[in-house]
Amino acid sequence: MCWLRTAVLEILGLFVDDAIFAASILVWVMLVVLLLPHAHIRAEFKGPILGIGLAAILVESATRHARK
Amino acid sequence: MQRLGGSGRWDRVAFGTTFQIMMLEGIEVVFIVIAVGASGFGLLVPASLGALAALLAVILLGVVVHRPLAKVPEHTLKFIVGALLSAFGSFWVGEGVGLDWPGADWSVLGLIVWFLVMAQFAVSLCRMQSARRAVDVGD
Repeated sequence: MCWLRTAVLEILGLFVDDAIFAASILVWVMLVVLLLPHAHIRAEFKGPILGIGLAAILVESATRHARK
Repeated sequence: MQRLGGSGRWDRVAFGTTFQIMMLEGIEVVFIVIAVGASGFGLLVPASLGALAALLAVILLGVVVHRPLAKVPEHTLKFIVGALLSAFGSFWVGEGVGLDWPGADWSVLGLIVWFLVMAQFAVSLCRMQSARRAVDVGD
């Protein structure tokens, strides 16, 4: 069944390369969805807040990989 | 890739890599078609035809531009495509969860620039870390 495990891991790897990176994005999107509607922020700033957080996660992921 | 792919015209690594990427993108297309098709009655057929038209357009574009694109260094191409995908992905996630963007659809251009700048910033940080580590190893 080794081939099956390899195939499953390969398929998962197509979607998730870095588990911490993927989990961070999910958490950030959930925070944005849950908290931003209650925040007193102008509506057109809410999208950029999502973008800023996602870019910060990207930079953290890149520097974490560089440290390895 | 050229080094790993072996000699001759048939390059297994190139085939495997392209197959994996195309399979991933194909699955995304299926999800998009299903999502659009589920939005209303009779939308599945136009959505499928739209995906098919996009496939044909991409094949045509690939035939036309594959030679000039092959001259662009691989890492540069990945860097730009990564920034584009990040920008479009962020925009559509925001749209999907009901967030507003300044300038509506035009904000995608701003996001592309934003991700290119941040990616370049990440590259600088990574280079600094590598240089610092090289100095530490040297000591």
